[in-house]
Amino acid sequence: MPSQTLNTIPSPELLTQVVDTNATGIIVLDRNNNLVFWNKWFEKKSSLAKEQVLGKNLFSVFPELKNSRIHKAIDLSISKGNASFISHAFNKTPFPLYSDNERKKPIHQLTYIKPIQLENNERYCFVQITDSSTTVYRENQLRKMTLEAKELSRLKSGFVSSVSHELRTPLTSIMGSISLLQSGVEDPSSEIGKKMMDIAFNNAERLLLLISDILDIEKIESGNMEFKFIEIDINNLIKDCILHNEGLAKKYNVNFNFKKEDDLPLVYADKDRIFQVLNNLMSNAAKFEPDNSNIEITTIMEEKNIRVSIRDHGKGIPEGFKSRVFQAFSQADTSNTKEVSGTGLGLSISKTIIEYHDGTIDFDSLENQGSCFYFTLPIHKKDKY
Amino acid sequence: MLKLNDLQQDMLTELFNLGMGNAASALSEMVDEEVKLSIPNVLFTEKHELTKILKADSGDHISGVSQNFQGMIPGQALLTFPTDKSLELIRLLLQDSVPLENLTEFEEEALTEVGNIIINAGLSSLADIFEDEITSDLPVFNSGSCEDVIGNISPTSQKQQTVLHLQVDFLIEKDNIKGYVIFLLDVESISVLANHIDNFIQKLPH
Repeated sequence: MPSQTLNTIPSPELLTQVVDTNATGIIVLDRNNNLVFWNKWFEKKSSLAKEQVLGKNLFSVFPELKNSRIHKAIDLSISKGNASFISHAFNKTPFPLYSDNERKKPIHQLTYIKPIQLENNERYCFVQITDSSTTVYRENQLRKMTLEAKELSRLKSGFVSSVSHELRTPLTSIMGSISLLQSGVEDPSSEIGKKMMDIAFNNAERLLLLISDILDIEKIESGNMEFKFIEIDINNLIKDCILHNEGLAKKYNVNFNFKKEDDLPLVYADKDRIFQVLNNLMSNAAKFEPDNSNIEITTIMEEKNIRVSIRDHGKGIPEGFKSRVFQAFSQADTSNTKEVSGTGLGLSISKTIIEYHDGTIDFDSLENQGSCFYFTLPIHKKDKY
Repeated sequence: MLKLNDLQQDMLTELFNLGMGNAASALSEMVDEEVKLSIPNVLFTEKHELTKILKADSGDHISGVSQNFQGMIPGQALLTFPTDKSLELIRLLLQDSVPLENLTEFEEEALTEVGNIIINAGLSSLADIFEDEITSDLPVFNSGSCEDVIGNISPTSQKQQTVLHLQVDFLIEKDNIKGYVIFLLDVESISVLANHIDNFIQKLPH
């Protein structure tokens, strides 16, 4: 077998192919900043072929790089032989390079600048660019998630302190009334004694309502709220809810006036939960409606949704409060309305319920003219659930 | 171990401070915020003492940036901080509003760039003394125990080395962060350095 000599010196062609195969950008400059090497990666990301740039001064090809960090690092490498690393974080003027897909987005870059010294003491500057767009994207996502987690935790602790405050208020009233009766200061059968028992009862009722709303919120947040979807006739459900709220209407001296669109299709929804939303909106409206006037409830078919509106003629929602209407424990200043009681959770729960049905809930409100809360429910096909 | 006399020591501190002034203006420009850097003192120690000193000052876990250099006195340079301080520094420089628990890849890169600027400035000060070039390699990020970091940049098998130890104080807004720049040099480099400092002093106008 003939002996073979192993050629350890790669040919210039092989070297060029190696550098062109590299997944990073490589350029080489001479002492005068003239380009002597420009690899395929650079051609792709800059859309400049090597024939267009070789022999030219880097800063005439990219004038925006003049006096940049990259320029200073190139000078340092040529004049003092120091290597530099330029991260994406601080580099205000990276090379104008773009992703080679259709979107042509600027790429985030890590820049390595290093002197090359040949045996004849000829010095060159080697510049290597790595595309760090994926890392930057990943870290931005991580930051976004961290922010969201922090916001959630802030909301949670705000919720706990609001809950404690809300539970304490009725409990204090209950304790106060009962202690007056228990200590014998007030006789339970006297007029004041009966009033004390009423206060205790009403506050216990409020506490019960509050706790059931809090449990609902907890179920919603933990994803454990169960929905039983069946076909329902929304008009019938509204009628039931009006009947349910008759007592409240009498108490507040208002009427419910229902204008329905006939022959609405059935909607696929959780009957009890939609009833809860209607009940919340109707009782809210009753509390704000002026005496001897009508709350207007309407249903209407809109493309593929049924829209339910509940309009009152109360004071309206103050401008500054509008953005917080659906937030838990939000209640506008109610000093000028009827003695309004509520947990401040109802609308937040209603919003979650409606959104779970792929519907939307919102309101229009004008000061001193009243508010109109409306929600939509899509006409779903059964197989969606 | 050979030590520098007071005049030599002062001269060296002064030169490093000049170099750090350049690094500080580069950093200030990068972050659009005034960054001040100063070298309050320069110490010489032996390599086996280094881990002890670092541990006493920076705790068990350090992060830093290292670079090899060549020229009249070849060796390794390391900018180091206690890991929590490196986080603090980089977040001050990046004005990061979403601090995560650990240094992210992105922050490591940013710290590497900062370290690179400071080490190059230090090397440039040394080059001025020698009136000769000290060339450097690319910076590398290091993080771990003091032993691991020192071991990574200069294996124990390497011949006896001496350590030029500079404290570097970063002043950004109102925060002061202390780090160290360490040059690991051959033992004989110290006498070469002392001679060159003397020459440098003699050339100064009196």
